[in-house]
Amino acid sequence: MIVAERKPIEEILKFIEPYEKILVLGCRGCVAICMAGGDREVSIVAEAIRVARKKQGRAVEVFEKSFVRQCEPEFLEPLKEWKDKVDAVVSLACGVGVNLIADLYPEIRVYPGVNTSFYGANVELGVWIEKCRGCGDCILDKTAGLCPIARCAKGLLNGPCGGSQGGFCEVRKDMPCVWHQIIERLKARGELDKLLEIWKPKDWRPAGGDGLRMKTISLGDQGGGK
Amino acid sequence: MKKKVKIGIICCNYTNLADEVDYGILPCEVMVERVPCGGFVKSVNILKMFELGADGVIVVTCKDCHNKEGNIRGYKKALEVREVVSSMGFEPERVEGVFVNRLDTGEFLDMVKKFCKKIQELEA
Repeated sequence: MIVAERKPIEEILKFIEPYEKILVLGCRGCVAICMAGGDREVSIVAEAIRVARKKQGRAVEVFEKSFVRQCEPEFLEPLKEWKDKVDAVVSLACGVGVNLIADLYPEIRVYPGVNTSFYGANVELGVWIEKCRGCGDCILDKTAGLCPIARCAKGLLNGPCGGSQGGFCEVRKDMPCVWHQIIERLKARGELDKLLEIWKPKDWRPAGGDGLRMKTISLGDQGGGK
Repeated sequence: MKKKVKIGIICCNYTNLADEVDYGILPCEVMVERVPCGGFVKSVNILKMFELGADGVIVVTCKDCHNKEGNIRGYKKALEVREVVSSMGFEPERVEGVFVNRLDTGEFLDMVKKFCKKIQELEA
């Protein structure tokens, strides 16, 4: 899932400084699960704006709303009703949602309420860890399912580097060295020879080096048949 | 003349048996929200108290929570709002989370008095 963190209120207040009618728009997708932009956070941000403006002695009208998702045009359809009612929208969705609002409604001033951080797994209560970087050219078949692009601080394709000490990374001592893990795992499976293969240079075009990434499917690919 | 400060109190129902008479002897005005357990404290309600005019908000939960960890959850909400108010330019000390013995009204009132004094100092 996409993991995000709420921006400091101070930063959000700066974005909306000149405006008096604000819509705080949450997303009930990934950002709600990682507690950055769901209904709960919408109410906190909205209330914080009210309190801050009261302290400044300035009027503000803050509306609260959450959509099922902000990454699909049909879910953003109800935003049409809001474009004339508010001066600005603070979207607590990930960057995808903010971009899509900006694309679909150029007349709406939309500001990000979260910092979109990474693709991660919810490994325990309140903890998310990056597992994938969406590089578009997956090599997990060669690395026992552990991604060196996302999980090695240096993104090495031929680790571990000399800084790996006792199975931990030199960049952060609490972070396991993923290359150490890959080698241990392949060794246990008797598949270490997989690493003897010379890999072709990684193709970074699908990672974004070739411009905006897109995926299109034809109707025939959707399954379901005639 | 010193301004009489207004304190928001969000407390677990099992922390005290204080009533209007007890609140009446406090050196500050109070707004009280009693919740069934510390785990029921909502961050937005702490902020709402500020919107309603509170100069500081204290979240009071039990030292031993009969719902296991509701007290910690309530305390964490106070910490979360502390960070929010501090990024809004308020002193973080205006939000506090404290633990008291179950149904110890005396200790509860002492904590509130102490907090009230702290807010009075901030307002001075």
